[in-house]
Amino acid sequence: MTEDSRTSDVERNHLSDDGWALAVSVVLLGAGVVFGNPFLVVLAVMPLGFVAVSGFTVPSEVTVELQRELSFEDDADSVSLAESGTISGDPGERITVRVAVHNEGDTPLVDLRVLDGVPEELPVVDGTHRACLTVRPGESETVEYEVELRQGEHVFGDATVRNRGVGGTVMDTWTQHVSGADALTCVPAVSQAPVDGGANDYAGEIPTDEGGSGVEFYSVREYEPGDPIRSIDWRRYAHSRDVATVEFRAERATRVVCLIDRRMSQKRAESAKHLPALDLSIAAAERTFEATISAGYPTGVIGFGERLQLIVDPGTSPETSVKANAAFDAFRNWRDRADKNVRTHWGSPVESIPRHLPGEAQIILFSSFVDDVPVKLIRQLRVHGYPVWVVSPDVASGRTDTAGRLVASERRTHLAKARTASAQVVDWDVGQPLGVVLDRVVQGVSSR
Amino acid sequence: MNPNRSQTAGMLPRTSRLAVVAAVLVGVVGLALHQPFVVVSALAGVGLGIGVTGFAGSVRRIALAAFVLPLALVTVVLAVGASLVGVTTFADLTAEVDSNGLAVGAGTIALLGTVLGVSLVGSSNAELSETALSKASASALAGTLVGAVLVALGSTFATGGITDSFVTLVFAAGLGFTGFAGTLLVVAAAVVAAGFAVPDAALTSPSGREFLAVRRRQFAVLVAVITASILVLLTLAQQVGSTLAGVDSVVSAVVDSLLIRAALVTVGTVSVLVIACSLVLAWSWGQTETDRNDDAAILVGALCGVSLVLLASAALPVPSEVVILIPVLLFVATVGLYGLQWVLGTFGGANIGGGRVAGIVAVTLIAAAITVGATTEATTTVGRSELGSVLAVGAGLFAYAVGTYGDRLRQEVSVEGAGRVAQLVQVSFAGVVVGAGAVVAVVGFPVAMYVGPTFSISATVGLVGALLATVVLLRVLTAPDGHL
Repeated sequence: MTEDSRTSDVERNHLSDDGWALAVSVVLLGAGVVFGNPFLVVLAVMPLGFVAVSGFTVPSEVTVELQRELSFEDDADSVSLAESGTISGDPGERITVRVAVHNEGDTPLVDLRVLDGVPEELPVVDGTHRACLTVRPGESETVEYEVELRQGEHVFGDATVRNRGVGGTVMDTWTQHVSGADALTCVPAVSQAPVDGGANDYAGEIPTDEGGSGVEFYSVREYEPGDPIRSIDWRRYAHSRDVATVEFRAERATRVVCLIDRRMSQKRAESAKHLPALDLSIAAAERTFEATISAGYPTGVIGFGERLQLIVDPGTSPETSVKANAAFDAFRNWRDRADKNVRTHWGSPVESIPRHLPGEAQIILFSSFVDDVPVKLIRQLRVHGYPVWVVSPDVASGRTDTAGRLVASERRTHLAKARTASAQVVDWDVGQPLGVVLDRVVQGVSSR
Repeated sequence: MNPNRSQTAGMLPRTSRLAVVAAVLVGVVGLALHQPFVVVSALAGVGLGIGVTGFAGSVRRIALAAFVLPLALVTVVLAVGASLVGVTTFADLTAEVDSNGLAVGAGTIALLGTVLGVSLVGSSNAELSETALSKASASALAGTLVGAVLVALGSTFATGGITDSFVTLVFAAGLGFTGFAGTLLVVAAAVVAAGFAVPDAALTSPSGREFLAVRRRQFAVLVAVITASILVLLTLAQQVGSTLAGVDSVVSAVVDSLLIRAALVTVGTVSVLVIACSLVLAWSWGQTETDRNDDAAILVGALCGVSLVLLASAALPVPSEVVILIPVLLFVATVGLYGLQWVLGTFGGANIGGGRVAGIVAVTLIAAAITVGATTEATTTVGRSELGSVLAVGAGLFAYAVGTYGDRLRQEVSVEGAGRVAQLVQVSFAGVVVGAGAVVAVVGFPVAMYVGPTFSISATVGLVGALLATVVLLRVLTAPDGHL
């Protein structure tokens, strides 16, 4: 360790590990005297070995260097690596952390314990950030583990290093700076949208399966009074004297509404170490919102609780993004109020939501489906003719206890019912990168 | 997520664990040098440990563990009991035991051997927990009660002659139509009561409760109809029999048939057993606040296990006194298990594995070594018993040193993060220190006896005291920063 990379003084602790040996020695001695057996008395010599050697087991001086590296598998199955600075990702994403411990001294480190300074908010989901290593002079060993990303900015702290001498009765402990990558960020992309007060214009460039006043030929039908003169098929009239009307493919703005289930049931997570369903749904909805709005689709957001809905009407303007951002923040923090421009409505979500949707919209519903309310909602939406996509974070399949298996089974049943109701269901294994999941949804929306 | 993480919770890291297991084996070998029969009690202890770990598993495993436990407990008590009456070698099993009072030392070593056997399982299996022990104690208690009832029934039959007792029971309600009708009504009532006594949860899920209630009513009506039909038919036959010759004898043959009466009594007895078990389970389930209750598995397993032990002992040429003794042996073992549970609860509970098992092994081995020293004549040379004591003490010291190191390592960096090489170095270090101590003891003792044939306790105490003073002086001189 270079002296300046230490961030604390070395604290030397002496463990009184030889007290037990003395006690055993005294017991054997006493037993030998009581039972008149000299051999028992001689046996009392054996534990004294531990007493004698404990004074000689002082750890040697240590010189180590620590280097941290962060990486994660991105949407294209390639590995993003950060050897310094910050790395960004989505909530629930697993980041691999590698801390290389290099022995720069000339004595082997037999029992070197390293505790990496993992931010408190990030759970370690695989491997361990604590390790006991044996490092030869000039060589390195690596501590490797995975953390699950949470919303916000997270900075890794210094590592705690402990060196124990042989016998382990004396140990030196200090904290040390770890060079290399030291921060993780997980900030929703929508919050970074520029607010410039641009015009609020629905693009209307998305072709639909209806005849109308576009530019692409759609069909020819019999003339009806009131059809514009310019749409009459004059060639046909010249040829056969029949009056017909040419229709072109209508180009209208297809609207997208992200429906987020924010009821109490969405607080459920696979375990205390995992993100709850709501956080995963919000992360997915934010990404979807950003992708669809970038593609020119007027996009809105509705978050529904047991009785209360927060509504952001579909739009493509920066104001819509700001409102959506406020709504996402409110969802994340379980608040019932967001920006003053975000509408609220009180009533049963199954009955109210269809009334708040625009006439034509594609619905993307984000819910874990641990109960049947989303299924009822889908059925209601289908009755009103809305196409529905479902993105359902799986917060149940990883559980092995009976209650967990039951929840997983119920969830599968609910998803099957959603499929039966003609919803397109994406069952999101949260181990799978979010981008891959949402690509399917966004492409599905675009291709309609 | 590492799937093995929960299985290793509370356990020592692998290398330290293997070292402790090796220490236990060496300790048992050391004790066997003095008293070969200790191997049997150690093996019985291993069986007991495995049985107890079964109680930490699924309901099926618990039922199996409850089935095996009586056999393991009886074996343990027999092994310890045999040592207590003077069986120290395998040859003693066939020889006539010359009993001059109880061999307390041999019994103690056998008991400690059993503890070592259990510790062997505890050091390599995280499931040997206080909860598992608690369930095992409950299972042993259930086994004791079941055994007591079965032995009492058996002895009642045996006293009056099995056949005579059985016939008396079967015809308890009397001969003739009245006796038959009485037996039939009592049995029918018992069957219906059994049908209603079984807790709903044993038969159906919550959604099927209403359906089950309907089925129960149908079952009761069916039994009542069948019973009434039989009685009406027999009454009619009796009436006809008064006028028609031959029918009367058929009716008599039916109502006084040993086979039919025995079948009825068997059905009635089974129904009473079902009622008793159902009441116990209903009470137990009513006390449970968690989502799991293993009492049914424990009860059924214990019932089958004890029955098997009793049937096996009845089938084998075992004196009837020994068969009667089985519930007593189970009771002794039950008290022992409850005692062990209490001791563990008093000293912090949780798993027996981890650093605690190393402490248990060390205390057990050193206690065993002291017992060996206390029960052998003082000699001037190192014989088998002395060598065994050295192995036992050495193994105990080694297990404690390695076990506490491994436990601290587990607490600091977890089992997953514990490096193998560091543990191996520590294991080697402890081995060298113990080995050096053993050499000093084994070589030093005869040398000391040679130098001073009149080697006395006081001289030995003086010698060890001088050694101790030397050690302390060394520590003072070598300890850094004034620490001792």
